[in-house]
Amino acid sequence: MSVKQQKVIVVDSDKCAGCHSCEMACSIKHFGDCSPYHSRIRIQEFRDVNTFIPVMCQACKDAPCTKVCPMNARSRLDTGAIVTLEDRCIGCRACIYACPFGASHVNPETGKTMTCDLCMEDELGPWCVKACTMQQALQFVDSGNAALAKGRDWAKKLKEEYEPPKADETDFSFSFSVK
Amino acid sequence: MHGWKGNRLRIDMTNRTYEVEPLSESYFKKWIGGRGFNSDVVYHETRQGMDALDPDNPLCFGSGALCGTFAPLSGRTTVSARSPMTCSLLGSSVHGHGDTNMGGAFGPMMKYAGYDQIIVKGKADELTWIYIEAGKVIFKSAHDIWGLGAKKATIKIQEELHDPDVKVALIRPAGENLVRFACIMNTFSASGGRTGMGCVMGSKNLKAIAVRGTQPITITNPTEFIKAAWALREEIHNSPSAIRRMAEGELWISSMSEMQSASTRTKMFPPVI
Repeated sequence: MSVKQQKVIVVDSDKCAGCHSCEMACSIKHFGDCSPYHSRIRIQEFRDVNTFIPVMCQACKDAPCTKVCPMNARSRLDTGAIVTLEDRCIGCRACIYACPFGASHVNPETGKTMTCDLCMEDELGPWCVKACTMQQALQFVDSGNAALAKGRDWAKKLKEEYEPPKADETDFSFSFSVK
Repeated sequence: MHGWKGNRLRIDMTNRTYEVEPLSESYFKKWIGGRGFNSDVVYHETRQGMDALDPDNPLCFGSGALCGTFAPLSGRTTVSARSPMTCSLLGSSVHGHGDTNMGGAFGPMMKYAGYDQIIVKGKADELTWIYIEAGKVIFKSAHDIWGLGAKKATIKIQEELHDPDVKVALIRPAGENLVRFACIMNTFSASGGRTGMGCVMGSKNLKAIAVRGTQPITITNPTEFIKAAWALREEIHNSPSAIRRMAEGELWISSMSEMQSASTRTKMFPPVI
């Protein structure tokens, strides 16, 4: 049985610096203006501890929003994204209450909900991923490779722990220990 | 009008009133950015020989056309007033123009609230902080947060408003006690430290300004705009200066340390080849 490869956006919140570029790109793509409230990806800020977590629709395999929607307006596209069909949606916000991530948002212009549609009709790919050039906290990968980058990072950390770097020629006798 | 929101908010601390002043497009085209609007206001609304701690000294928060959009390096806020630190160009003891530039999310949130510029005048008779939201300005007592640092006061304000997204520009104990080089802080860590604007804010008995807004900023040609912004970003990220700064920090500390010209002699950063 062949596994259908679909592309997903993988979020690495450790790398996010909270610049909100992805929100702006999403807003420009879907609404043509700049506002974080028009974005389908939102960065949750915890600035007191310098932590930023991008929250977006994960297109869950067994998605609760598709089950709770009374009008069956939440439907999965061929690309793997789950979108709200605007002609069916009645704006009851049931998908917002059911979403475990809080990734479904109300479209302030229509009152209906909106989630990430992966910008599939665009040959550039998702604009938020393209906007995240600096930190690369967002990656657009095949669903089979979703854990690849994270596993590699973790393995690298493990490798460094077991194999300390060789002594450099530079004199670091005054240096503080930087980890 | 695209980019700019077209409004200026004037707050009078003495009478606890406020007024929204719509501005023409030609005014914005003339002055372009926050420093421009602020300089115009400070030039025209201060008298000769005015003291920086005078209640009529206008404390202006301004941001530019691109602030709050996708354009790289755009999210800055300029704070201007007659400064307690500077003297006029002629060398007299009169206080001169001062402005400071800060990062953080206060400027973009000010634009989302619908204002390009906020001007605070007058002096409150008790300790106050201001909440600006959806065309309203609410004056609140700052007795609870007076004396707190940036982090604690911001968290307290956010808890009081039940809104973690509200952006706060505030002064810390230095500004409250009118230290002449006090700075204005926003979003915990972004600071406007030059020319003592915190002292001017403290002289108005104003502890903090909290802003919340949800209006979008419109753009004339979104697709062309984002393509230009992407190209500019690529250029910035690939420029040798930026690469070096990313590795060594803003002050190029390791090279300065090698030349022994840094004020600290830590060799904290390994040399970059």
